[in-house]
Amino acid sequence: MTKTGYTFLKIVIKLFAFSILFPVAIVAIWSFAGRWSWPQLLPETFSLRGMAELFSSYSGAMQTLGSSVLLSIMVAILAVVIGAMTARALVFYNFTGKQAVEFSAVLPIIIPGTVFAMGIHVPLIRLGLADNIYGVILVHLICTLPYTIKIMTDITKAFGSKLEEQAAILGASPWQIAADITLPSLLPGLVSSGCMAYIISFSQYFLTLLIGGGHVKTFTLLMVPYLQSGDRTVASAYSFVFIIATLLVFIVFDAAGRKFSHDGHGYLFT
Amino acid sequence: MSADQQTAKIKLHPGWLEQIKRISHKGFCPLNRAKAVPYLLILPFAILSLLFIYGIGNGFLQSFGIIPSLDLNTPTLKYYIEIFSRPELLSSIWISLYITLVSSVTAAVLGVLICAALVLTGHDRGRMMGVVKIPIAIPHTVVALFVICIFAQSGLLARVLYSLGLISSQSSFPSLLYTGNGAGIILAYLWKEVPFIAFFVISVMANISSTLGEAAENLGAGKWRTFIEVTLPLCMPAIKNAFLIVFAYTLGAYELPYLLGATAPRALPVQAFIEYTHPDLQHRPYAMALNGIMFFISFIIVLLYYRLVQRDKSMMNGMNAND
Amino acid sequence: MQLQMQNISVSINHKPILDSLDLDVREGELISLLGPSGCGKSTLLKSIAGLLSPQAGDIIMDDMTANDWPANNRGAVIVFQDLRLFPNMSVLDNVAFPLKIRGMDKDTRRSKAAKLLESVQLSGLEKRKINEISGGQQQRVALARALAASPELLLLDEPFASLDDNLRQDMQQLVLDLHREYGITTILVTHDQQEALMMSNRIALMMDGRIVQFDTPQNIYNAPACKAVADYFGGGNYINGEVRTNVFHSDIVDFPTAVPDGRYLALFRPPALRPVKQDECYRVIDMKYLGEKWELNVEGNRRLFSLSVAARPGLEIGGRIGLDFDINQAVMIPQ
Repeated sequence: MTKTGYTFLKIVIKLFAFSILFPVAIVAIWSFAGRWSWPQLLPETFSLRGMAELFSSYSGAMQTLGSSVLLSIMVAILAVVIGAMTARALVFYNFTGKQAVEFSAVLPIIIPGTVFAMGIHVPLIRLGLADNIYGVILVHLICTLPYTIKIMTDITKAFGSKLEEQAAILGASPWQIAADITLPSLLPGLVSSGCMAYIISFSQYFLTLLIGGGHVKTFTLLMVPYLQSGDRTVASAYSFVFIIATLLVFIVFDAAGRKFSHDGHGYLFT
Repeated sequence: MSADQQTAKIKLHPGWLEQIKRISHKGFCPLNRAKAVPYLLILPFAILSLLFIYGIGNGFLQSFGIIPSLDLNTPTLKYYIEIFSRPELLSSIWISLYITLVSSVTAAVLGVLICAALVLTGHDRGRMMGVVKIPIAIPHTVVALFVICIFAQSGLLARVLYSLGLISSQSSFPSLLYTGNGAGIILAYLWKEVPFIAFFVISVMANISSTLGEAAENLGAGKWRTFIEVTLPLCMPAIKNAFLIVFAYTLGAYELPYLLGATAPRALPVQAFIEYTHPDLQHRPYAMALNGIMFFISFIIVLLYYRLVQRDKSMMNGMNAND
Repeated sequence: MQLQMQNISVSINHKPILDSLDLDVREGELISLLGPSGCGKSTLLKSIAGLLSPQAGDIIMDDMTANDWPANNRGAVIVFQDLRLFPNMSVLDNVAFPLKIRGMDKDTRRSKAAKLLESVQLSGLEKRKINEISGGQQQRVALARALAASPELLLLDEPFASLDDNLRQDMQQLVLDLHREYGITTILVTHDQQEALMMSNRIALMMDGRIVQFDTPQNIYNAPACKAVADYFGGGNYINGEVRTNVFHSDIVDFPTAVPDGRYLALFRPPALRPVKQDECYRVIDMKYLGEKWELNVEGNRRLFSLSVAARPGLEIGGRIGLDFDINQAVMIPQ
């Protein structure tokens, strides 16, 4: 390609990267801004007011953050486990209803979230799962499963059954095979689908609002009124903490994954 | 039969005890257990799936006025008809379609452009991809804040233009938020969806570019020609796939129209929720009818998606032949 | 096209693959690039075609330095090992693709492509999709497509590796026929010695990123430059010795030879040894039946020898024989 063509594309990429990083940086700055009024291009003063309000005891933000993280981790773990099981069935077996399973795995992505939420609300009320944490976990799970199933299906397909068959021939028991062969090989997929499920659950607003009915408070739910208020400093502080918390969870997932894979059992293929 | 004869009969089958043992063990035969495995594996998913489908179906029925708890048991189209006769509800449908279509198509075009730029300049791995993945981890609610901070009339862009002397006051800056043009909402969706589409398509595009694209170049095609005639057509299934996902999501998403939208017309999800939470339960069917419309539109998408997957499979077979 | 590679060094991800490599191919020649897997053959092809840039060295095509020529404009066309046929186009459109790129109009290019398909014996398959034809047919389509690009240099990357024997022979014959008809300078990458010996005007034997010997098949087989080259073609029995005034001296056999003085390995390939009844100081330790011949391994004089005979020798394992070395078949390898 021509030199100018190449340069043009590089400029496009740089602009694109800027458009992603700039807003994040702005919000990060605004969360520490004291006074930043029109028409100033930079904050006039910096202050920890926004942060203080967030971390203060009366806002309850820290507790909510903690419980939200735990809730989403719970959803992530369930989504990964069920996703991996379903993926395994889809990849290695032929069974009646396989196509139906493949198809319904994609449905929650295509059916609008609000339609699903308003449709399932009443049945959940009747099942006693509304207005409590169990219903919320359930609906988050339904939303995240399509993603974990897709990722685990790809990983399981790449992994194939050859290594497991080989181990079985060599005399390994199913438990040994699962722990020493299957698990380490699927680990990258488990971690990435776990992160995906976590972020989807942690980001949920409408679903938690409706099904939780005000009894289940997540950090996102707590955050929204501040976003609607005019106080950009506090809103930015909440957003900033949200991003940091998410980053930390990703790091933890990744480290946990790496710990399991370096357990002395290497895998036999990349 | 005498006792002796009976004993003799038994003695004629010396292995009868073993035979009985074998038959009773058939129930625990590993072969049967193996058959049950896939069904056990999909069981949790199946239960959740059924719950999901039940919820949708239930909502669907409610849109036709079948709500036993409110003593409404006869199917009727009156809620749908009324929606189509009320201008403010019609404009809800219109604004939803408009926002969804504009943001999805623009995201697809820009996403593919970015994807192409990344692949053609060799940045399809590494740090740049890390940057592309950042928006995935940031929720729509926070993106709404981004848009507010930057594109509001008192936002950063306005301030930059003011300091450059291009506008004289806040009100000279175009009104992008909370208006009927949905510009703020579209910008917010773009911020999330352009990287999503780029991320979705890039592994396919990189693979095709490095194999078939290389072959096309070797046969005399320049980089641009190769992209248009070989790479892009072969990526179309993945691109269409990504587009459908983005379209379906945007249609039914609540957060951004709620945070950045005008008070009228309201996007479908917002309007549906208002009807749903209306103290007068008689409004419930209207909410469901609005949901029904959203469902109907996305159902068409589901059909398109299904057809696409079938056609994909035959194309994929073509690709695998090259192995 | 006349091709010269001078001092070419190529590294991939900081790993050196080609190391100061020299090669020169004459106009209209068909040479084989022969070597074990991983020695850099495909890398060399890609460097010639411009898909990889060498870290050092010059590529000279028809006396012009081609290093900076873009990959789509060198006239060097590769038939890749994985064929890389376009799945979104029919067989005819695949073959017509290079013609389309060169601006030919639809009807002309379609008829030209049809003619090319005829020359690879695939007429009638024009409308098929790539995934609907067999592996051997796909190979021919790839070949026809490469020819459509009017290459001045045809680069074939292990084109017959995935074919079974019958198909491979057909394809080898096809390539030879096309070479005879079109006269395009051709470089054939292969790891199969028989194929290289049979098809090439000259063979370039590559090992570890360098060309170890570049000569006609007969010369490479009968006058290998070093033991590694001889080993690649099957090796045999090596006897260490010294030539003094045109006589080869060793502890096994002495014989007159025309080569200059120096230390040599005398290579006697298995057919060059005969079992005889004198001096039976060799013990048979192994006998293998290979269809057209028997292979014997014998032990004696503190070493092993292997010989091949056409008919079943009247011997048993443990039996004793003498060996006759056919000095006319001795291959002298300088050390």
